[in-house]
Amino acid sequence: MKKPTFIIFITVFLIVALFLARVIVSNSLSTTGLILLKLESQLNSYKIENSNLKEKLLSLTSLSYISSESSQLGFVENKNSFTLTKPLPLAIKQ
Amino acid sequence: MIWRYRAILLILIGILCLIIARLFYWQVVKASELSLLGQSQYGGLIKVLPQRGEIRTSDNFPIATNKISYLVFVNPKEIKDKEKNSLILSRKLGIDRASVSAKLSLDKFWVPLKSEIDMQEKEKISKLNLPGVGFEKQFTRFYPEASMAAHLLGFVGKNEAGEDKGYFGIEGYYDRLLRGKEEIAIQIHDALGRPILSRANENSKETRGNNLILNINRSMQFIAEEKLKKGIKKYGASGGLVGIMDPKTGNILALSSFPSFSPSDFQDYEPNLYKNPSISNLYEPGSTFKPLVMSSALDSKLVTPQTKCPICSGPVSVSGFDIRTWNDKYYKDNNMVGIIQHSDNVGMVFVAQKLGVDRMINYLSAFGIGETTGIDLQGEVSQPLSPKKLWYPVDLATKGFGQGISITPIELLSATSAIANKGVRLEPHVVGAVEDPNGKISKIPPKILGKPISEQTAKVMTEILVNAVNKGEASWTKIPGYRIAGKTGTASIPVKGHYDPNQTIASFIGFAPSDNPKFAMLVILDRPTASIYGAETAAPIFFDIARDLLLYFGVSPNE
Repeated sequence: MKKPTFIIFITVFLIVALFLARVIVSNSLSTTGLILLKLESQLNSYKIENSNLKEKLLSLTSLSYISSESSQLGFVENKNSFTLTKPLPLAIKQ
Repeated sequence: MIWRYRAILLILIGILCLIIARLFYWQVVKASELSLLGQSQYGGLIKVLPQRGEIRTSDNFPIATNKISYLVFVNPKEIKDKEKNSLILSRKLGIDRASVSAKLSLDKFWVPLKSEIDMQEKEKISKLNLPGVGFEKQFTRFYPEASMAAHLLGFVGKNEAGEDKGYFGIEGYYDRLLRGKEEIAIQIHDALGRPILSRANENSKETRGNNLILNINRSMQFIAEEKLKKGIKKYGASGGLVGIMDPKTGNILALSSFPSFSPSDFQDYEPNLYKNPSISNLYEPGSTFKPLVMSSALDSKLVTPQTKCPICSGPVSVSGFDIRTWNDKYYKDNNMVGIIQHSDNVGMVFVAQKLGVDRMINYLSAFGIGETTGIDLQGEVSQPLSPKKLWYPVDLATKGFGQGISITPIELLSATSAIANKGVRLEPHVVGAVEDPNGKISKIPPKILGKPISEQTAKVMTEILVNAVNKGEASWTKIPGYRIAGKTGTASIPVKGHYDPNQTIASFIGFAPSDNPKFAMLVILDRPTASIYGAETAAPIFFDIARDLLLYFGVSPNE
């Protein structure tokens, strides 16, 4: 009976290749934890910065702040208003 | 021999079936539970508390949101020089030294010192590099408009378990929605405790509560608060409130009351200030109640606007009690229009007697008097109407002009809005829509509660109220050019079985423009000292606010 050399060769090659691939992938992934940690802390700091900026923005756009600032700048409430009412008819029958 | 083989075969098949059943139980029935157990062995289970939802006004401005703050904690086992550190920490955190010292002497690994410190404070303490001192990020409620709409919002405190919980107002009523769902997440670590790249756990994403979008108009709320504050000061009142509602939808546009509190520092205020007087305080409405009784009599066709009052020429005696008008002036043969215009108590006795107890109870119930309105705020109360057998003739007579009956301001505002809305009464509602964490917005539609009076009656009553504004006691303060329907009220305050002659609750209720109302508004002043009358105190505040609101809505004068 003829020896299945080709099949044995392919099997051994596959085993070695997959083993090496696993070693390479595991090796490259082993340090991603550190990168992830860095990214997470960066994300966190951006989130905190965003939250602080949002807080400032909301305080500055609040009506109570705008009202107090405007009165300090000398703005006063306009008590007089005018409206455009219906026009008078062009010709009135005498 | 064959039966032996068969028996063994059957036993083997039975065992196989048992194994399959057990595997099915583990793999399918208990799969998620076992998977979680497995994950917990190589990672840590973290309780993810959702960020509380925002409360936004109708212009989408967050009137209650969250800001990042920090909890300072210590590990007493890492702190060697406890005396020195307790001195530093007590100074920096503003806590007394004995309390810090006691916490540092505890035999624990984690002791909280102070929560809700801001970024600047945290950085100052971090720079000291104190051993065993750490910080935990947390979210604190932040109110960009400070104490605006405090009674409406309520506040966020802690429950028995030390978790955030909403109390009073919207925070209390919608606590579950705002709080959101607590999630469990798994963080997988390596041997040194660093997070490692793994299959992303779907639960580990940041969770949020639902956001609420209010019907409250921020500008109107601001206008109402500012004018009310000035009015309380000007008329020397001990407090007051303003409620503004869209009669066509039931949307509450503004709700303000003083004295108030700051939701962020609620603990510095007396607990009795937390209650919202608009929904939690019962009072006798006085003459502002007359339109409800009058419209009931008009609707049941017992009187017409031209019906003359045969008893209005002087005081009237009911069951031995003399009933007089507020200024002791009497108008012989006064008709229904004049009764409301002069706020004639004797005239209202005539109307109430015409109406009778049964109809009075039926109509008041249809107006929602004696029951909660269903407003979506925590703390609403109501006083049920007395049973028919307890309505003595004098009760019927006095209730006709708003005495001897206790209601909440929101009950009156909701009932009067029915007159403004062609007789249709709607449920007052503060929240207009709910936004879930995925951004999906669910609108809350208006809810019709009933139709106490016909459209025709509502129209006639509106004209009577317009006449009351134009020719009544408060005509001096009305806005020229606009048709506004309204009624003043000066209610006596019952004290120890009698009415205090010097202290009143002054009020004004109305809606504008009368032909196509954009808002219905109630102004109440508690015990004004400059004048006891609603026409001289609450009415000017009403018209002052109404002037701005009409401009805001772009309504031009039509007279």
